[in-house]
Amino acid sequence: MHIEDGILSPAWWLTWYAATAAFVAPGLREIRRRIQENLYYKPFLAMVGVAVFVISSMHMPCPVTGSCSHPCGTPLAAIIVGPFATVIISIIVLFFQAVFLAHGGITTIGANTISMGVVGTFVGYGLWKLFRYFKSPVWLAAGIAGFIGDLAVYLTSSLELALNLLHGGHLPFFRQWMIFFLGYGPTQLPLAIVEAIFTAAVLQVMISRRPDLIPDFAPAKSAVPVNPATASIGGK
Amino acid sequence: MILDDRKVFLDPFVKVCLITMFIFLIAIFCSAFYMDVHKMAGNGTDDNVNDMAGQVANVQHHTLINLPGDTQLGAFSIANLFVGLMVGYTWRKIFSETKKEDVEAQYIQPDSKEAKT
Repeated sequence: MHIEDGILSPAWWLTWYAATAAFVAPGLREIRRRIQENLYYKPFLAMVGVAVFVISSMHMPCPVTGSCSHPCGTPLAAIIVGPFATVIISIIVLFFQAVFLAHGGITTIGANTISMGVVGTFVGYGLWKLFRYFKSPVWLAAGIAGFIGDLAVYLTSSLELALNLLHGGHLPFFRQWMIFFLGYGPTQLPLAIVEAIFTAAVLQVMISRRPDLIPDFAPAKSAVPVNPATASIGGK
Repeated sequence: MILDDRKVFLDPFVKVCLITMFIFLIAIFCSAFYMDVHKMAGNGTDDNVNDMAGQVANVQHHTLINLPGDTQLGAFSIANLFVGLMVGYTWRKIFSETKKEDVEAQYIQPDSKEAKT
């Protein structure tokens, strides 16, 4: 999903930048609110940020197709640090990957954020909430969120590439979209399964170790957070 | 508890990490061997689709900086070294050095004296 510089026309990459910008203010607000709710949120957000950085640049080979691809990590991040905060994480991650790791591009940060940071995030988070609403076990809800969230990222990247050819392409839009998706799909399918297992495993561990960090599993929904100014953490 | 951990050469956490790492590495080696035998290029899917999109749109795609040869390996190694250090540091802070009462102390039950005041 790391679309590089030079592929998208200025009209499209500016559009994706504008779409991404709409998520920045809600993302910052969510981070500020969660910091007030849980004093451990800041280091936790930092840890999840660097984890998304490494997960989304970790290339795994797929011997069936003979190519390599990577999971995204954003469905997991959305569940544990919140969907809007994950958009902020994605922007930072994609910037560093473009600048230092030759992954993605500067003009395409908006487009790549929409696919990985917005669609992957909100599809994964929405499915997690939906499955949990119907009392699904954690492993199933998290697994579905990871699996579908991962594929949704690549479906969106393909859509972005197909939209870029909307005027001037030789094929009908839908066919062009599916051709791009088939470029990603066969390699991404086994990686989406890996992402599903990974998402489920990490959430199970986190819920057993620190349920207070996951909003749905915090000690008591009606509990009142302590004023951060007067609370002490771990005697430090 | 910390002193006991120091006496152990490989504590349970390190063992789990090593086993998981070797499972991934063996899976990658087996896949790479299969791909090498069958003359598969092993390129990144992102690169393949970027090439395809570039050809269809008749444009050249490029990264901000090119990392030729082993420089890419170096960049990834440095990035992952510091990512590992940061994740390990915060992991310990959040999961290992946190006592149950510290977590509970962040919340006051609504019927408690503090909440009423």
